[in-house]
Amino acid sequence: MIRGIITLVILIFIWSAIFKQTPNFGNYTFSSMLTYLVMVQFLHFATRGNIGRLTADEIKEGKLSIYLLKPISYLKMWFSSFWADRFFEFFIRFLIIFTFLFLLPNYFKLPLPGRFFLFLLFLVISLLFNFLWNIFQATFAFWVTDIHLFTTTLGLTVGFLAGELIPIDIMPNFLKTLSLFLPFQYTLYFPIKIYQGALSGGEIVRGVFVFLSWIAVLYFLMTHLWQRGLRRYEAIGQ
Amino acid sequence: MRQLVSKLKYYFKIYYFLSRFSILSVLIYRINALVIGLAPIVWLATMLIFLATIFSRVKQLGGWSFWEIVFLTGIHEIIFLLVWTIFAPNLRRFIKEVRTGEFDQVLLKPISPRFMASFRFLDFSSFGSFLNAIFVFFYSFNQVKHLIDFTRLAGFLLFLFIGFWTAYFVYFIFSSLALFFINSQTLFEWTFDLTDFDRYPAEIYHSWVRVLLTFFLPILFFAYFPTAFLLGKVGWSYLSLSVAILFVLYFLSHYIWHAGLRHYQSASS
Repeated sequence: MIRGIITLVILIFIWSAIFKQTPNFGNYTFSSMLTYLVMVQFLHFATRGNIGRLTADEIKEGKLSIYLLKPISYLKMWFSSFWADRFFEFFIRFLIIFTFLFLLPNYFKLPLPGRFFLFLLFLVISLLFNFLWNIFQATFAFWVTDIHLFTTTLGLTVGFLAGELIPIDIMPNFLKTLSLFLPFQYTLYFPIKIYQGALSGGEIVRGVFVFLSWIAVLYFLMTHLWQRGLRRYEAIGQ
Repeated sequence: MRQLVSKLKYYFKIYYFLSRFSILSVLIYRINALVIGLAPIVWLATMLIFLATIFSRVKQLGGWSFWEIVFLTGIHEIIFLLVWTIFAPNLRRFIKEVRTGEFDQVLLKPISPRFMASFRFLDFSSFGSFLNAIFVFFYSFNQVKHLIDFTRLAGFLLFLFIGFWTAYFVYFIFSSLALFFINSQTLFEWTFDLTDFDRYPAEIYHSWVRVLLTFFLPILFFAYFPTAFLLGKVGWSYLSLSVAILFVLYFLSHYIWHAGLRHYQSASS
């Protein structure tokens, strides 16, 4: 929590210095940029989760065998755990939003109830994607000894392409095109745009369909890799 | 005097063997060692794109140009790679050892426990990222060299040396708190997170943040003040201030460490 707040405070100082020189940055005012930054921190911690690393560790250390011998589905077990964990984090991280609502009421505002409800609904799909993405990364542990470095590098890249550091609409053109093509925007940039009321109904519906298609592709890839990985699994150290 | 020289020779010899051991342990997994530089390359690339995006619409940030900030980033990275190679992983390990009681074994060795807690291993795993940091440093240096006051070069190198040791004392003080609180891991990690403030021109922060990060938690002396000094943005008085702060931190760390050792109660052993 503190880590996110430190990053957020630094970014607020940077953007505050920028908006002293110009009233607008792209389509952003200081208020809309501040809302964007706060929501990035909220979504980053509330929706990501680290079950990918935990699962990869269990594969690496051979602990997966314990679960494979039990009459339960390993992935379904993590699926339940992921939702319980995220549900708890969601309420804890909501403190960030309340803090800014209290400290900067002129700059940071809650949207209309309808928009907020749409935002929450979209987060459910986003969480589903994040779960699949976590397990997708973990499957690489069947082939590579340690995936920590791989996931760190991937996390930085994916975070950037999702609009974590800069909103996608003000990125350099090449990165903007790439980010808008990839599914990662739907985990940060897109839900924040729904929250800010910057998307029309049609754009939201189209986004939901595209995102669901990506989820189907990821589900297929993940299950395929998981099955192939299980055939290769050797339970080292057990 | 002869005693001091012989003591120094003794510690250099031990450090030589510890370094050799550290290099060999990295070379066991050569491919891993090579891949380790990848994450910092990505991080640095995103950082540069972030700055380039900002500077596509504004000309300066806190009075610093794009290349001046990239130069600051390069210096900050070099200092922090040294920090992570030389002592940060050791201090993190020391905190864990205090919690588990393994620190007892260090106390029984015929060597300074402070030396062992701080410099036992050299972590060469971040060696790959030195190349990116050095590239960024020299490339940006080329862009800002017309702004550099070369009469300050010796002062700058001294400032960097002081910056590195200031970082050591700050982190050593925070890790020593483990001797009082058993687990100071989170506090230690927060202090590391706070160093992000040192990556950007301090002129953009509120004045009370600048005062805090100069006098109470002197993070700005790690890279910001040395860079600002070389670029002629702060005067020689800051170099004197850095020496004074280094002395204060040295004595404070000495006091906290010894008080901590007296307070230390071995856990679970």
